[in-house]
Amino acid sequence: MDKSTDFIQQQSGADTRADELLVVRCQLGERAAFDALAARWYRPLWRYARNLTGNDAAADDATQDIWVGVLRGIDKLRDGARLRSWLFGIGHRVLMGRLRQQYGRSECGDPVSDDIPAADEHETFLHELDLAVLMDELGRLPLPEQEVLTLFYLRELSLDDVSRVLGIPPGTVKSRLHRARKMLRQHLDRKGVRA
Amino acid sequence: MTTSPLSTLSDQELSVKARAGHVALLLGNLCMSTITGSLWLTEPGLPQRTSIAFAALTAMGLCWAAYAVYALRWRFRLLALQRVVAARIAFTFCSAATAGSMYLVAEEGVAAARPACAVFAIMTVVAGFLLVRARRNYRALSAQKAELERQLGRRD
Repeated sequence: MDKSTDFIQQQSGADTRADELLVVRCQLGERAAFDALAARWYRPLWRYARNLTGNDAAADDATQDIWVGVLRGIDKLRDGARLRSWLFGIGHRVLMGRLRQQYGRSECGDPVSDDIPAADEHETFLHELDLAVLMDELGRLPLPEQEVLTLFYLRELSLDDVSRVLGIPPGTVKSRLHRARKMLRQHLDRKGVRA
Repeated sequence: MTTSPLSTLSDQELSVKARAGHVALLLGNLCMSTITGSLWLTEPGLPQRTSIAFAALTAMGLCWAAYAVYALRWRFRLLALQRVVAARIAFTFCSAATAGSMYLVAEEGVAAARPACAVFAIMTVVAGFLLVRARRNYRALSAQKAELERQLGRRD
């Protein structure tokens, strides 16, 4: 393991412990810890909501709903190390609820597949795409594909965490990721962007 | 995009006043229902209208207590330190009520105080159990906090 990988893993471990500490302080009832939690997680949650709702005002409203869920449920969170997936899980439920209300439709199920994205495919995928075009095309995908790409690539959640957030098996996450990447490539090919 | 709306939301959702109010509502109504219920069920020769009034008061008290439990369960959940304080208040309150009703039974011979005494005794045991659990949870979280602070401090 080289020094840079070691450093990244140390940072990631420290971030997880910092999250755990915040959760414990919130559960103890320290008011300042809730402000620190908001300062740390407001922007990622807002961006997630913004990606899925498509406008700033709806993202603001959704983030407030997510925060109410956080305040009312934080004392039940047993493992602070899972804060990230817990937060995005609340975000997912809030956003799906809002979209269902808006469009009067429910999510459709996905077939389970074992199509695992290879590590090098992941890297190539990220590096070869132009970010601005990618974001634009991402917004045009159907919601389930948009969400799984947002959580996995933009919010950098692991497959297991995405699975917990969306409440679907890891196999379904993999198949949905595979389909989403394929759809995005087709969109980008049509635009003449190499993916 | 600012976190200040969240801070306002936190103030509303984490209001200590609302939590204390609901704890007081719960305890007050449980005690009132116990007293009126005991009088209603044990006092001999009550006029019918008085019996109806006691029954209505008991039902009203239980409804308010149920509402307070609901609010504390879903809306104003108590955090670790608040649980310790609430359990201490409940234990003190219930112990005093038990002692008072025991005195009425033993010294004054008030028959209606017997069921009240039994109910208050049960409430005291429950409050004691909640106090022990709340203290244990608070100590565990405090230890976890100290350990995480130590780990993060050592890294820096």
